[in-house]
Amino acid sequence: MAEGEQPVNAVKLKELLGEAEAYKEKGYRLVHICCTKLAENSFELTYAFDKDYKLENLRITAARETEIPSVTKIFPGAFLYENEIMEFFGVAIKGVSVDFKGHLYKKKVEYPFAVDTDKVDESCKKG
Amino acid sequence: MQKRIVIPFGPQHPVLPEPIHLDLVLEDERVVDAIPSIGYLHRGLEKLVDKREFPEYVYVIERTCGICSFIHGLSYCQAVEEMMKIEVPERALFLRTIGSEYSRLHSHLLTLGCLADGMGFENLFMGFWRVRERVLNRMEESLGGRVIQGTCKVGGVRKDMDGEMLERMKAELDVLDKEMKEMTGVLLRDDAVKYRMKGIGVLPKKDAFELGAVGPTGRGSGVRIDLRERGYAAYGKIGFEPVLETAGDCYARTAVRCRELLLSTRIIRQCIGKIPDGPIETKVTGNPNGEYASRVEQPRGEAVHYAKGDGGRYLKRFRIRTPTFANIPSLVHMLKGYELADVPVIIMSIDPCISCTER
Amino acid sequence: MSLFRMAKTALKNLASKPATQMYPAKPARKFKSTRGRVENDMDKCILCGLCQRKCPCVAIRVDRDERTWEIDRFRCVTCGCCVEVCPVKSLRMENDYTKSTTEPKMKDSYKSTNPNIPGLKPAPQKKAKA
Repeated sequence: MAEGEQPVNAVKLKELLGEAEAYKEKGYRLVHICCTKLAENSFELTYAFDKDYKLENLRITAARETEIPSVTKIFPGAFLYENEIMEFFGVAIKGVSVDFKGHLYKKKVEYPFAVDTDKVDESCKKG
Repeated sequence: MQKRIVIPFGPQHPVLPEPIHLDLVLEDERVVDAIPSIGYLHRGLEKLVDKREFPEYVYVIERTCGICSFIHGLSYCQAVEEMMKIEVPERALFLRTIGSEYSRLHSHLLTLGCLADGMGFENLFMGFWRVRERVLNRMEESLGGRVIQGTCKVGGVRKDMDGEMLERMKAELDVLDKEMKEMTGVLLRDDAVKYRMKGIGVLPKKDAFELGAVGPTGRGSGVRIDLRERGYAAYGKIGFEPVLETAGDCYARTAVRCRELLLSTRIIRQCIGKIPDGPIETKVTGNPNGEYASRVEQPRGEAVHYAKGDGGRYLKRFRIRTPTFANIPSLVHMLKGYELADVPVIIMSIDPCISCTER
Repeated sequence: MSLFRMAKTALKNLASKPATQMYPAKPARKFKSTRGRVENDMDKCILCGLCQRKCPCVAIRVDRDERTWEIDRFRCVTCGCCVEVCPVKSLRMENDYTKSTTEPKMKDSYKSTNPNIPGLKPAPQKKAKA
């Protein structure tokens, strides 16, 4: 494959907006925002930026109560990613330009991706 | 002050191939705002990563979408192979490229047919799908399936194509070219069709870049993002130029797709000419550890498959960011200011693949 | 003015034969690598259960006590994973499709006819044949 490194910069919460602004000044575009559950109340958000097909990542770690500032003022197209993370994981993101307030997806379980699969209905288990 | 009314569009609508819901805020007949609502096809495929070991998970990922299934499988295999540092043999890379380009042909023919149907031109819709049947027959013969191929696996591909089959494919490409030129000629040059597409749904280049438009939606506005230039699979060994238009309206996006059809047949001819002999797979030992984001060019744009493993048989996290997910903010921006009757044509021109968006 | 561009193609289509086929009156078109349905050769099968573990759809059920191998045709997506991992190559992919049915379930159960299965006592004589 032609792809080389994909550097990951771990930053603190208050540096997030400054770093995102810096990437925008340099001409990068936002590719995606991904949330991974590390432990019971610990989530890791990865923001990926791209320019000329080179990918760079920003990473922050947050708990459910942490208020994360939204990047929609800098990258207007990010509202869908942030709404999806709020609905599936329960992480709080403040200031999203288009806030669906929990109604983007219709779901039965409150925060589906933050629940452990073993605790789900027996009928879904692999036989 | 004109009165505003809200009209629901979808999830069931004759022009939509897949369910998406839009609340259109109208003043008289002009759209002022649009609020998307997705979630009708959500199957929680990303959560299945806890339950299926990583070699079998490729079958789940392939079934994310029926139109772009081959390239989803390819991207997953690339992500895991990069994490585990596996070298895929060259013949397998060329076979994967041929499969990707056939998949792109079939997807563009499907979309152009659905766009014609959205305008009410059913004869052209049937004409495009008739050409598509040729492509599907070739895919079934060589790769193993019309819609879901099941060819890519971690370490290579599962089926080989012998020399005689490649010669037959090459001969058929000339017939395909002729038929496709005839059909796209109607779409691009007929006056009635042009009247419904020119100047509708304009997306300026600056807005396209800021909102994150990818694929033909972005390339129709002049944003040069074509992940095949990165050189994954065998694209690094093949010379081609991405197709760009500058007008940014529905006609430009359709023209990009029509020209990409002919570009795909050129790429397949080059692959058949340059394919080397050799094995088609390598043995896979060990488990994935680390993380990697594999990016490929699907027919609709850039897809990102982010995988994270921690050394066990099950991956820890797998996330797919599909091109339609990135194009929805552009769609909402594009709809403002146009009439209600233009809405189906604008939505079909970005080529929505909702089953990918809701995996 | 460029109108009626499609007229030539439309008239040609009217004059030629249809592109579709009268299925099921005529058999479906198939190729050598069409994935139709999974079949098991019960003379060779050793009931190891590897296909059951690897199946991504949980469609196969192997019962060593009853000596049966069962497949749920509605769950099977003919991916071919079981055919690849079978250690004795008793599973194969046929290239014609399963016939449709009006029943809500379609589980095919086969009894083993292999007298030498490692780990199991040989079957009693009266239960043997094929």
